[in-house]
Amino acid sequence: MAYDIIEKLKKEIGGFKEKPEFEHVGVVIEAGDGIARVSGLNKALSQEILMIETPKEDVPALAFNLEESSIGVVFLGAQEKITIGSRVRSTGRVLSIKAGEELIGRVLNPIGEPVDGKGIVFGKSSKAIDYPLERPAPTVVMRESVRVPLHTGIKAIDAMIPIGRGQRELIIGDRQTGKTSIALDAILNQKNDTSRPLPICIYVAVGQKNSKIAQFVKILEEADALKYSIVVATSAADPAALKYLAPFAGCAIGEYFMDRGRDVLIVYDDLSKHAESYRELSLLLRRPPGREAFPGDIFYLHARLLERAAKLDAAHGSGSLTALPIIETQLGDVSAYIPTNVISITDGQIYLESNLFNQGLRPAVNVGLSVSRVGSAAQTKAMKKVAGRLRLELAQFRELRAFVQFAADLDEATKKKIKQGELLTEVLKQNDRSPMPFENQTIILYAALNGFLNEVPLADIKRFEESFIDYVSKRYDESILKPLREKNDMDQTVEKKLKDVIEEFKGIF
Amino acid sequence: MKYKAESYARALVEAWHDSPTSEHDRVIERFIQVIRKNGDWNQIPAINTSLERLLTKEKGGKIVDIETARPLPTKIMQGLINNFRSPDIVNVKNNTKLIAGVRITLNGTEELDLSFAHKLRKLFRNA
Repeated sequence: MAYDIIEKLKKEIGGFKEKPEFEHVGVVIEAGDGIARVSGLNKALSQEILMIETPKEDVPALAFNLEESSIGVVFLGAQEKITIGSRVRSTGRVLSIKAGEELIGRVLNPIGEPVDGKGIVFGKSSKAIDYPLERPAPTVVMRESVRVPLHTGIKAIDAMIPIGRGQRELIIGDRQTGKTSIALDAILNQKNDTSRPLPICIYVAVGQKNSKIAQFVKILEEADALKYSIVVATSAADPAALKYLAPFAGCAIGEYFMDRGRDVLIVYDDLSKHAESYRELSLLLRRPPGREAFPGDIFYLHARLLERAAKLDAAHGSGSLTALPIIETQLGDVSAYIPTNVISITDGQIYLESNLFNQGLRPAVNVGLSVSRVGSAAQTKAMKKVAGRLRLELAQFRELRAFVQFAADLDEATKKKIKQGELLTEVLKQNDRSPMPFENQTIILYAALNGFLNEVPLADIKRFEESFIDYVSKRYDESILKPLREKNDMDQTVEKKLKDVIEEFKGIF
Repeated sequence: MKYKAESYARALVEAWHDSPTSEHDRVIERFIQVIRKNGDWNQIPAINTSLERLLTKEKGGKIVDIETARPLPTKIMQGLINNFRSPDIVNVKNNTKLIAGVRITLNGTEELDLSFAHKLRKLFRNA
């Protein structure tokens, strides 16, 4: 065996051809804390990959700061062996990630290395191509308006804060309010939406706990959602450079599929940690700090990322990239620097409140402060018909509920409004990891808004809902659910049938 | 360190060019005083290197660093050096990490690496 190894080595060395030529080089003059300063390399490009030679291996680094006499670089690999005087070579390549169909179902880091232990991603015969992490957003003429819904499977969102394919909808709230759960449900629900093309779902974890990422992947796997999902993972222990690049890597992968006419859903969890990583890198590289020590271009960082989400027109393949960025607030302060930046960039926000969560209203969506700027343009006709009054009813309930605390005697109309509001609030409660197909949402909201549930005690609403949906899907799928699913509309025939079925079910409940 | 070595070197060269020949000694004197005052006396070697580079670049020359794995015979070394002319500055030194061969660096930015270590790296790391 030793003889075989030697022969193979000889063959490899014999076949080695090298053409001596001048290369651009530099030298590390300062290193530490994940960054380094390199002298020389005066022709380096911005965002170019540089290779730092160490005794063990070549460490990739990113040219971040191009200054007159030196370059500020951030390490993309293990930095322990890098010393002053280490040689740095230019590669001529701007930072990019290999993208291809083989990425689906995989968990990788922002430089494209798999971290799920399932082996290499791309084989020798792969048709993967390099997609740059930084790319200009689609221009105005390349886009068309957002019309196709992206159902999250969460009643409160699909009814009142509808999201369309190509939209950017921010999920914002304090820690432990269910932000990631909403994103997870949105991903899980995509396989339930059978009348629309299945989107590729990309979850970008920025500085999350490894346990949380592992749990997320496990849930996707168990729910059979990993077959249309990709996870780009950076843990809290990863260098700031990787956390900074993670959203751009996810976006580049998304653009690969969008350019091929596919719909893509991308979740950035979360952009607060992304901003903190960028601040860390900027301060280390001595960029001037601004408000809250963030660099001056922090808005541009998120704006250029989120502008890449779009609905392309037919001439460019009709693909779409829907972004669900997540921002974590501190003590409910949505007027802080980073939250206000991202709110002004996105096409709406889903605001989650700790108070509502603690009261048991889950998902803890504050409907009053949440908005979707695309609105009913991205809703099916069926849902539009059914849920049109929902927001108004809940707004009236909120006003009256405050009034009730100060008044003892109420007239019948007010009592009715309050009862209806309580009923709707109960109907909108939903367990996590239980996304509901939109046709099921339609029938239950129809029943609730048209007074069919008035006689059902509040404590039994959940049980009624589950049993009713089970009843309809087993007996009336062809006559009620299938037409809703396929036509996205509730015509008079279906409506009449639905009314009859509700009465029938109420009789046996 | 109040200012970088390159900044000191550039300031000196500019002051030298902007002042008449009779004032040049005075310029150097004042330059030394400034360095002492700023507490950057230990930067003198770095300032010297930067000055060398600046002045060579001004005259259109190159800073050439020739590294060999082991000391070469004088004849061969002279042959290498004769490829360059004034105002080029040629520095020769040994670097056993090259294992064998020679590495030539121009102005610290371009390099022709003919060393054995480089070949090994290309063969085994990039394969």
